[in-house]
Amino acid sequence: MELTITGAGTRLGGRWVVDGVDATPPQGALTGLLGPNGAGKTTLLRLVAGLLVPERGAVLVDDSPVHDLPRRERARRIALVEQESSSTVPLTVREVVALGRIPFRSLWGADEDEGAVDRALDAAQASGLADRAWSTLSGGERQRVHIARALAQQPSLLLLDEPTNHLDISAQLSLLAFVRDLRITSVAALHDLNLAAAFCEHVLVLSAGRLVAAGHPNDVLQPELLRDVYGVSAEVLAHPRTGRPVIAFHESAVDTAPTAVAHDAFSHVTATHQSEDTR
Amino acid sequence: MPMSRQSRPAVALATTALVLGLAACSSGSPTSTATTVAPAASTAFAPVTLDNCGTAVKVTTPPQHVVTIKSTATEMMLALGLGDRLVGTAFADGPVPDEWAAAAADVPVISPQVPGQEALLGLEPDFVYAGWESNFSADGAGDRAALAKLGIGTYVSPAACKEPEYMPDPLTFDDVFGEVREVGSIFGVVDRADAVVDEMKETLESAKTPAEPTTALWYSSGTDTPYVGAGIGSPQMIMDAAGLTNIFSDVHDTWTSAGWEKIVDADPDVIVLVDATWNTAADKIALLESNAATRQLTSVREKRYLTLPFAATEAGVRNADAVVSLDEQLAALDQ
Amino acid sequence: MTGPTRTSAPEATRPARRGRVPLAPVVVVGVVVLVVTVLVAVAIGPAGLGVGEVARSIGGHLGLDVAPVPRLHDAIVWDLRLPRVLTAAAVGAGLALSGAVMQSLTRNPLADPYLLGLSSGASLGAVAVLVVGVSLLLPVAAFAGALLALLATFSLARTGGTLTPGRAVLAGLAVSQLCAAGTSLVIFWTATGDSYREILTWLLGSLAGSTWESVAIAGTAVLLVGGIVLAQAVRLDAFAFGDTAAGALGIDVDRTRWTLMTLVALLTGAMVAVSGAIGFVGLVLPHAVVTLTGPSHRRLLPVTALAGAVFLVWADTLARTLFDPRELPVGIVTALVGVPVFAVLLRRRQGAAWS
Repeated sequence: MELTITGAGTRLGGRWVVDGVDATPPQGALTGLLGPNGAGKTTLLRLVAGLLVPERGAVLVDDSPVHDLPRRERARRIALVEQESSSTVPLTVREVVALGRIPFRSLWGADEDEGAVDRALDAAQASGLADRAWSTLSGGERQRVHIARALAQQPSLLLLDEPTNHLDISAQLSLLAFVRDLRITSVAALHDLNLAAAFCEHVLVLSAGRLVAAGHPNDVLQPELLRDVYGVSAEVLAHPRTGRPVIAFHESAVDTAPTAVAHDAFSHVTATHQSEDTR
Repeated sequence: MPMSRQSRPAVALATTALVLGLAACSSGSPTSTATTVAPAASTAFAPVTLDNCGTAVKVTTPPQHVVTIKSTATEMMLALGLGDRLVGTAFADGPVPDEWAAAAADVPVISPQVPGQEALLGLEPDFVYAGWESNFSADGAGDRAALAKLGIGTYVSPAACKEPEYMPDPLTFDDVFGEVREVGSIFGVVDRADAVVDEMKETLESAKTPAEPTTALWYSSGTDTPYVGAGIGSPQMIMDAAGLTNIFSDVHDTWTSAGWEKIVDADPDVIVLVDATWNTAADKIALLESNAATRQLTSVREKRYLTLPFAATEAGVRNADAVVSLDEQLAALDQ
Repeated sequence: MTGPTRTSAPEATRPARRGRVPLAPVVVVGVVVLVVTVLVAVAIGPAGLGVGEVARSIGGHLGLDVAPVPRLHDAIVWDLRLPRVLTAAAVGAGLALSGAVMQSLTRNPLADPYLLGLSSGASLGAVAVLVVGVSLLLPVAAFAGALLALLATFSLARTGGTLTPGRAVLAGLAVSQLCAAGTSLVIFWTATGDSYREILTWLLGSLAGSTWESVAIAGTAVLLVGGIVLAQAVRLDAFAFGDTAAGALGIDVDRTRWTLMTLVALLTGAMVAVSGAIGFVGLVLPHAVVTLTGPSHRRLLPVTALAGAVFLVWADTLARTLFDPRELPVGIVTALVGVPVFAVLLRRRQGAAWS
C-alpha cells in the first residue's frame, strides 16, 4: 500500500490544525509521527484514515484519494487504533476482535473467513485472553486486543495513535517491536522520542500543524530540532548496540518556548523514503 | 389529579310542591302544583355546630351571601328556596332543572370549573357550599381553615367526605335526607327541609320497580376502560331504590374502573347511561355499538338504555327523581 | 509480543460468565415460549371461561369444525382477549427492540424508546384529542404528536448535519419537557369530570382498548420496521467503541444513526399510538437479555424482541386479573415489576460494564 500525503490540510473550529503536510511514509515499515501536544498528530491520522476530508491537498493510497474509496473497502485496507477507546458494552475479547471483521461481513453477519479472528488473536499474542471480559483487562492487555482487532481487518495500512500510552516499559518495547516486525506500512503517533528513535524506520515531525522534519531518526532527531520543536535541550548519543539515537535530556527546559518553525528550516534533513537505514 | 366521584347523602328536594321536572331526557313532564318559592323568611333559626367531614362548622346567624360549587350544592339551595341568597355558582355539571331556572338566572356563574380563591373572595361571600371535598384546596376555592379565618363558613356535602370515618358506606337515602336537614338547619329553613325530604320520600314510594329481576350496568364514562357504578355510592343507592341489580354491586367502592370482559360475561339486561356534556349518552352508545365485543351484548342489540343527567346522579335533591325516571324508562322499554 | 504478563487479579482470568449459546435454538425456544404464553394468557380472564371453551372459540374462527360456543363467550375470547394479548405481544416486542437500539445508538444504558421526546409528543396529541372528545382519532393524533416531537428533537440536535448522541439526548429531554408542560396545560385548562381518568390511563399506558386493528398496526410495525432494524444489527455492533472507531470500521456513522433513530421513532410512535406510553419495557428488557445472549446485536435484538413480547403479555394479564374486576393500567404493572428487576440487574453488573 503506497501512501502519499500531498499538502494535506484541514481546519477545526477555524484553525488550521493540519497545515500543508507532504509525506511519503515508506512501505512495509514503521513510521513515527512526532510532535508536541496539539501539533495535529491525531488529526493527521484521521485524515489518513479517511475519517476527515482534507480541505487542502490530498491523501492518496495507491494513487487514489483515500476519501473516495467506498467505506467498507477503506476499512479493509486501513485500520486505526485510537488513543483512548473505552466501552461500556459487556464484550468479550473475542467479540472485540470480531468487530474488526465488520468490513467483511455481509448484511446478515456471515463472515467467510471464520478463522480470521483466531489468527488475529494469535498474531497479537492475545489468544489467552480470548474468552475474558473486556472490562476486566489491564491497560496493556486492552492495547493488545485493540491491535488484534485492527489486525482482524487485514489492513495494508496500520495507524496507531499513541499506542504506548498506558503501558509499562516492557510492554511498550514489545508492542513497537511487534508492529515493526509486522512489515505492514504503519504510522504511529508517539510521545516518547527514544522509542521512536529505536523502532521507527522513518519519522515525521509536526509542529503547529506543519511538517518540520521527515527522515530517518538518525538524521532527524538532532538537538536543534528538539530545542525548536519541543523546547527541550538534550544531547543525542548513539546506542551502543544499534547505533540508533538515544536522547539524553538536560534537566531544565530551554528558555525560549518552542516556536512554529518555518517549513523549510530543516529541509536538509528531509529525506525521501529511499534513504538507507543501515548504520 | 383525577378526582373520583364521591357519594353524597341525598340532598332533599326542595319545594313542598311536587315539582318533579326532571332535566333528564326522559319525559317526566313537570307537574307543578302551587309551589312558589317563598321569600327568604327564615323560620326560627337556632345556632348550629356541626362536624362536617372533620371540620367544625359553627353557624351563629344564617348566611346571606352564599357561593355554591357543583350542581348538587346549587340545586340544594334552590330546592330549599334559598336562591336569593346565592351570590355565585361554579362548576355546574349540567343545566339547572327548568323549575328553578328562573331563580337561578340572575345568579352569576363564577367559573365553569373550580373557582380560584380571588374570584371567589371578590364576591364577598360569607359561606361556601361545595359538592366535593377537593373543591376546597389551596389552588381551588381555598383551604377551609383559611376561609374560616376570613369569616367565611364552609360546608361540604357529607356524601363526598373521603375520610373513612365520614364516608358513607354504603350511601343511603337517609344520608341524603340528612344533608337536606343539615343544610336546612344552617340556613334556618328547617320546615322547608322537612318538606323536601317528605316529598322525596313520596317520590321514592311512587317508583314502580320492575316485576322481574333486572340486572344493570351503570356506565359513567371511559372508553377502553369503562368507569362504572360500584357497590357503595350513589349509583348503587339509586339502582337499589329503582329495583335494579347492579352487576358490580360486590365491588366495595363508589365507582370503579372495570374491564369490558366482566361486563360482556354478565350481559346486563339494561345499561344506565350517564349523560354529561363531556361524555354524552350518545357518545357512549356509539362506543358500545362500535366495539366488537360489546355490540354483542343483549342490551346493546336491543337498545335497552336508560339515561340520566349527570347532575342527578350524584347525591343530591334529584336522586329520587332519578329513581323514578329509571323505572319509567324501563317500563317504556318493555312496552 | 513476549514478556511476562503483569498479573491481574485471579478472578479476572476466569472466562466471562456469559455462555455463548448458539442463536438458532434460543430463537426457537423464544418463539415457542411466546406462543404458549399467548395461548395461556387468552385462557385467563375475569370471566371464568374454561380452557375447552377458549380453544373451541379460537378453533371456530380458524375454520375448524368444533362445537359452537355461546355468542358472548365467543366475543370475549375473539374480540376482547385475543386481540389484546396479540397487541401486548407486538407492543412488547416493539418497545423492547426500540429500547435496545436506542441504548446502543446513544451509548447510554439508561436510554429508552422515549428518549427523543416521542412519548411526550404522543401524550400531547392524545390528550388534546381526549379532551376535545374525539377519542376515535386517538391513535392518529398520538402518532402525529410523536413524529412532530421527533422533528423538533432532530432540528434541535443537528449541528451541520451530524447527529451526536449527546446532543440527541439533550434535545430529546428538552422536547419531552416542553410536551409534558403542554400536556399539563391542556389537562388543567380543559379537563372536566371524568376525563382525568381517561387521560391518566392513557398516560400510564393501557392495552384495554385493543382491537384487531391495533393488532394489525402494532404487528405490521414490529415486523416491518423490526426487520429493517435487524438488518442493521452488524452496524450497531460497530458503535461499541465510539463514533471514530465505527467510522474506521467502515460504517457511515451519521447516516446509520439518522436512519436507525428514525426507524425507532416510527416503531415507537406506532406502539404509543396503540397503547399509550408503557414504560420500563424498553429500558429493562435489553439489560435482562444481554446477560443471556451477549452484546452482539444479531443475537441481542431478536431475543430482546421475543422477551419483550412475553413480558408484556404477562404484565397485561396481571393488570387485568390481579384486582378483578378492576383493571389496572399496564404501565403500573411494568413499573412495579421493572424497577426491582432493574435494581437486581444493577447489582449483578456493578462495576464491570458500567464503570
